[in-house]
Amino acid sequence: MSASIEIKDLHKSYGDVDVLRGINLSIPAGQTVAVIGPSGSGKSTLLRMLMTLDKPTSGEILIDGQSMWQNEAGQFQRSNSPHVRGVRGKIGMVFQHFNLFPHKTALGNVIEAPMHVEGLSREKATERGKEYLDMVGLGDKFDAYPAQLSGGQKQRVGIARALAMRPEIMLLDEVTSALDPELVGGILQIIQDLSARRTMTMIMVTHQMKFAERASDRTLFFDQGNIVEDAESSVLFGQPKEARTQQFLQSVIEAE
Amino acid sequence: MTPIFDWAFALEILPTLGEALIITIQATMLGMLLAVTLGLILALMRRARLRIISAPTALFIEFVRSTPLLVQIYFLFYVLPVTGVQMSPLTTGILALGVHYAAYCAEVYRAGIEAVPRGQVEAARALNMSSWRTAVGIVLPQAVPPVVPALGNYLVAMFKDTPLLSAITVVELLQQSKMIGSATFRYTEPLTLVGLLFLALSLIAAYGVRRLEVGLQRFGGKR
Repeated sequence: MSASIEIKDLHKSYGDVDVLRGINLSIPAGQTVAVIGPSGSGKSTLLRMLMTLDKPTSGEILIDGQSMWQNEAGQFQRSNSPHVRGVRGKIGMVFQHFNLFPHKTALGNVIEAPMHVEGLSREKATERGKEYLDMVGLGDKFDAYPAQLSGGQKQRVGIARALAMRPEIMLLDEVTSALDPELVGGILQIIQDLSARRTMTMIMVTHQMKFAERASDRTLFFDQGNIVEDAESSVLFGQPKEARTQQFLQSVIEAE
Repeated sequence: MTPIFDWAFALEILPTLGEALIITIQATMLGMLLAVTLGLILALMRRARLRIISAPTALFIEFVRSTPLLVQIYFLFYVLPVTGVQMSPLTTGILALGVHYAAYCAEVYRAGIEAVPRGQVEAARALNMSSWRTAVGIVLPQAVPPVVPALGNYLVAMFKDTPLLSAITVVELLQQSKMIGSATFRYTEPLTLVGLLFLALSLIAAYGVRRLEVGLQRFGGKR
């Protein structure tokens, strides 16, 4: 099951700095969207808004038609209110720096939310946790602590942890940026497989252009808090329309 | 002519001092138990989002830390009964020690909590965990082990502050030695023994804290 996302005139500023300047975006359920653009363009901020880690300055986010911050009566709700938690429960996120719980084992990280949010018994949660750790290729690392894992293994735990809550929307924030180059491929393969299943709506912020082109249906090019170009991935990477997009892709390809 | 240090006399008074030592240990243990629990509650209250909770808590912590423990002991001993609360001197003393050191422990906990990376709370939020579970399951298990040595120092400090309780008639180690002294006109042996007993127990406590620290590290997994 997957959910749709509707974003209307979303603004976010930190003090005087406008990070998002009026984003309008509609993502149908099941679509995989890549978000590219220079650093500081607001890509990660968009994901943080969708994960409710930050509140928008103005604008609206609708998940399956349901407002993220306003209840049916149109009143704004706190981030730990039943309403916001209800919406947030459909969304999962994988972080650039993993953010694993260092005092818990790989399995402990994965079963934490199924047990304490979903209320599964330890046995049920463990069964599910092992299933997802197996899926990301960590079937032999259940009892390892994060400090005993490589960067690539940590990120696999991060992915399994998010998947274990069976989200309808998955947000991936530069999930390979903190990894050694030789570990990137394995993570990208897992994400591509997930995308191919079409069981979740996915938004991935990435600097891996070839991967973005290959694994996503649609790509957004962000610059200075705006969506400069929004097109089918093959089109955006093949024949970008906007001069700014061309320039960006050119500089990235040269760097590679 | 009596010797400067009479070993036979020292041995004779040791059981009496031992009984008083039990009172001292009791006061320290119960006081510390109060201090670490109340300290944690104060630390969490101080971090509360509601100003109506956090502001008075901050004021209370500052007040307790900025006034002498002896004054607080006297205050509880003489003023509390006026309000109708009747407690034994020992209970009053334990309460005073506990509250005083809770204020210090609260600051230690606060430092520990603030050292937990923001990403941990964000990961918990992304997993839709409740505020309570995030605090108890994610933040505190990472915040407390690193501050155990600091809390341990306060345990030793509190132990050495217990003689202040003699001011409100608690017969702890020092008070007992003074009573022996005034009864026998011999102060050298009892006071020397008091010093040695404090030294021995401080060393044992410090060792215990170090063991606990190692244990907690294992419990917390390798970083």
